[in-house]
Amino acid sequence: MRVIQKLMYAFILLAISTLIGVGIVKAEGTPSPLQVLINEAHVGDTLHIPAGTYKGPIVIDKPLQLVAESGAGATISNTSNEPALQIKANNVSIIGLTILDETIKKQPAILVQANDVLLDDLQIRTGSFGIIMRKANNGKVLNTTIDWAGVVQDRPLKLSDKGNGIDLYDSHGNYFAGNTISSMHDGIYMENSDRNLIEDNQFELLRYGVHCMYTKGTVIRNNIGNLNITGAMIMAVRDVEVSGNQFTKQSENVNSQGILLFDAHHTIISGNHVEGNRVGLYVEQSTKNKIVDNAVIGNFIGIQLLDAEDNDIQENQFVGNVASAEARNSIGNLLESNYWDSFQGIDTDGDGKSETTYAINPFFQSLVKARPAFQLFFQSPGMVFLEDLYQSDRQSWSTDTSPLMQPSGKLKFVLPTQTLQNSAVVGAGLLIVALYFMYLGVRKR
Amino acid sequence: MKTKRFSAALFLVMITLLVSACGAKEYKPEAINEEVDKCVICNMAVKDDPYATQIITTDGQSLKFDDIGCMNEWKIKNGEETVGAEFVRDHNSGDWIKYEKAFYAYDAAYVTPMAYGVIAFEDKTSAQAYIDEQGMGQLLSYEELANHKWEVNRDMMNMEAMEMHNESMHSDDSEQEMDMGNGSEGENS
Repeated sequence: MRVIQKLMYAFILLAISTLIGVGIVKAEGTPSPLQVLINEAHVGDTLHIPAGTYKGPIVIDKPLQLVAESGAGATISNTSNEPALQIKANNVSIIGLTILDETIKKQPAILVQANDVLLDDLQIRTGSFGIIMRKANNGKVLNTTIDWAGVVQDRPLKLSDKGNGIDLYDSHGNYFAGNTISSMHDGIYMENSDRNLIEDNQFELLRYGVHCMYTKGTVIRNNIGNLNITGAMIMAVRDVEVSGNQFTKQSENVNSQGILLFDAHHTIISGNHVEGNRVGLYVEQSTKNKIVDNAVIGNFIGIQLLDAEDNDIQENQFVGNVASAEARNSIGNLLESNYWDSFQGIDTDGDGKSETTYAINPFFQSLVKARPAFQLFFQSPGMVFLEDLYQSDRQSWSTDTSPLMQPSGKLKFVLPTQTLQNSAVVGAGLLIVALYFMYLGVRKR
Repeated sequence: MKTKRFSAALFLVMITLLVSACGAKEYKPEAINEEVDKCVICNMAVKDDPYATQIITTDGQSLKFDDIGCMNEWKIKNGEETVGAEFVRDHNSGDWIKYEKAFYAYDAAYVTPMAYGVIAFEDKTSAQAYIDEQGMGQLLSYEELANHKWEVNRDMMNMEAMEMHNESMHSDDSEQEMDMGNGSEGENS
């Protein structure tokens, strides 16, 4: 009898504990099957994720490798306000997954708070940030696509609603290559983060493609930017390299430019191609930078120097810009051997360099500083005339001492010239119509 | 007769209105337009968020800034003679308030667009509430802000010296070094 009683008690206890257990799980919400897999996995395991949609949020707190099975579409879909995927442990790799996280919120699609994390071949569609990295060092983000997918109800979308594609703070030595980031706020934003390498990425329809704030030793190489407000925004930096990049059509905003340097020092800007932007190279309050061998083509303003001192600006090609250069209050810069197509020099000794100098008139920039609205008169005949009259203090103007007579090497044009052909066709059409009307008029008489 | 008197009264009212409008010049903040506004100092687009500030000059121009620190920088560079009024925005409501009427919270670790770490509030209690919520920072009145050092979260010049000092160490240590930097700044404040 006693034994039976004991057994009964035990049974009741067991039943109650199971009930409570179920209750707890219910309170937390059923964990995503993927989270269960992760929780059960051992350190260092590789999990092959079959096709299907898995519910977020997912948290990874041990070194694991998550690989989407080849050819399959494995998707983490998140509707919570947490990150779709949060990585808290070092040496985590995520390969081939799609992240759908379209809710407008503060937390990113992927939050990385650990070192040596690899994110490869991901598709991220987000309504906040793509990837946020905090104290995350030596990580890699490769071949990943980040796209804006948020929808705001009842009002137009503001710039400040969007988050950055990849956002770094206090994260060093990371490598970003082969990524495509579009329609976000900034493409890659780095603050207080050093020695990050950004290579072969594509940036489109963003505020700023690459945005450096208080960084050192950043390398931005061979990236392509198109239709952003600014291609590369290089602010408050030391020892940054911006080379071999191509920034085109940064012209849709009144404050657009290809590459902007502000408070940048000891940086190298070389071999870049900036075409069809509002301002090709914008340099303000920056010193001791090397700006060499860039092709600055078809911009409204080729290069703009404001309070920029002691920079080396050599062997650049300025072709087809509405105004090749504008400068204000910029002294001690070494301008040499650049090609300015708007300048007609005289080469008396046949060394290919002009003996007459190319001095950059500060009139227009000084004027628009006092009255920004006067930008409306950019290159208007009256303005050009006034500019020519203004000659005071000429010796302190930024001056190319030996401009090239011919462009060096072959110039390449990236943007199609189709618009020109179209306008020729339209023009010819109009001409024919006009002639026909004239003919009609004459015949009536 | 009646209409004549009425129109005379109306005329008088109009005149007084006109005169009073001429006498007391009132400066009003402009709304932020994200499409065109950029910070006069740092060139960054000014977002329509509570970090935005502006100066209305005595000749009625609106100068917009993305961070209170940039506005301060402008005053250092250009002096305050041409400043008609200065406006900041309450961090909670985004309403424009007079610079000298606001209360400020500062901590080196507060994230602001140009990393000056100063945030404006319409009253003392909401500023204090923010500081309590963040668990760090100090309350500054407008007067105290006048003596503020306006250091950015990461002083690049100092850092350069520090890096040179630590040149022999390996780059792996830099993370720690950053922590140290932030920590000590926090302590100072």
